[in-house]
Amino acid sequence: MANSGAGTDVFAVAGDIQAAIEALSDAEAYRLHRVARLLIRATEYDQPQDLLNEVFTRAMQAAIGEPGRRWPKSRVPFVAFVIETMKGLVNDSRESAWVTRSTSLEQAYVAAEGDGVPPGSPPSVEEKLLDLEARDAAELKAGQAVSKIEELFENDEEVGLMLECLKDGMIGAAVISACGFRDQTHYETVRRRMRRRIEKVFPKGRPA
Amino acid sequence: MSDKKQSTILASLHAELIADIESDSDEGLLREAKESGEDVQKVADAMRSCAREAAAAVLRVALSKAKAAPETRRITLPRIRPALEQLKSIVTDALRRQPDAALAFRDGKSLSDTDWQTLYDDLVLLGVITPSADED
Repeated sequence: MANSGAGTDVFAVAGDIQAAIEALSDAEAYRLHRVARLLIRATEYDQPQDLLNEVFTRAMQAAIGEPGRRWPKSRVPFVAFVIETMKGLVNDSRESAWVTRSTSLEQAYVAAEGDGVPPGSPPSVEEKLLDLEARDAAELKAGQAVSKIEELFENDEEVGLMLECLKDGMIGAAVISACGFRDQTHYETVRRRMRRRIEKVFPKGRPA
Repeated sequence: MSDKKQSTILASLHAELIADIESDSDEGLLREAKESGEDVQKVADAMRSCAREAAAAVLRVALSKAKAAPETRRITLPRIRPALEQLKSIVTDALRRQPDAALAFRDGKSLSDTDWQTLYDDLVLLGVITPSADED
C-alpha cells in the first residue's frame, strides 16, 4: 500500500522505506556515504552519518504522514531520492544561516531610517561590522581554496581549462565547447581526474 | 579574469565533484575505494545500520505517541445508536466476549435505559464495540 499525492506520483509508506534500505547494495550504500562525505563540508553536520541519519529520519516521518521528505517511489529511484534529499538539507542548512543574518541586517536598516524599532534586539553597528568582516574573511578563504586547487593542476592543461570555465560560471555543454573536449565522456574523464586528485589531497572534500 | 565571487566559484567546483561521484559507475567507485585502502563492506554496513536505526527511531517515537494518546481521540461515537433492545443485546454480547470491560457494568438488570445507552457509548469509546456503518 502506498500514499498517492499530487499528479500520478505514488509516495512510499514506512514498509517501502525499510525495504529500500535493506535492498541497498554495498556499492549504493558506499556511493551515498561518499556523496554525504563531500556534501557536509561547511555545514552543521560533523559526519556523513549525521546527514544520512537526518535524511532517513525525514523520509520515514513523511512515510507515516508526519512532516518530512516524501519519496515519490513511482518516479525516483531510492538512491537518487536520498542524494537529492541530502542536497536539499545541506542547502537548507546553509540558507538558514544566511537568512538569519540577512533578516537581522534588514531590521537594522529599518531602525536606522527612524521608521520604528523592530521587535527584538537589532544588531549593533559592531555586530554588523563583524558580520561583514566574517563574510569578507569567508570570501578570502574561498579565494585561497580556489588558488590551492589551481596549483594542484598547474601541469594538467585539461583540468586547468575546466577550472577556468567554472570560474566563468560555465557548466555542462558550455564547458565541453569552451574547453574543446570531444564529448561528454571526455568531459567526465577530465572531471573524474580532477575530483580524484582533489579528494586525495583534501580528504575531507575541498580546502575551506 | 572572472569577477565572480570566490565562494560562488568554490561552490560550483564542489557541485562538480559531487556530480562526478553520482555519475561514476559502481565498478569505478569500488576500484577507487580499493586503491585508497577503504573497506567498502565496513562503510556500507555502517551506512545501512545508520539508515535502519534512523527509520526505526521514527517508528518508535510514533508508536509511543500513539500509546500515550487517549483512545477517545481516535474513536468517535455514532450519531445514532441502535434500537434499545438491540443495543442491550450488543452490550451484553460485548461483555461476554471481553469480561475485562465489565468494570463499567454494574447490574444489568437494574440499569435504566439511559444507563444502557451510556454503557454502550463507553464500550464504543473503549473500542470493545465497533458501531456498524448504518449507526454513524
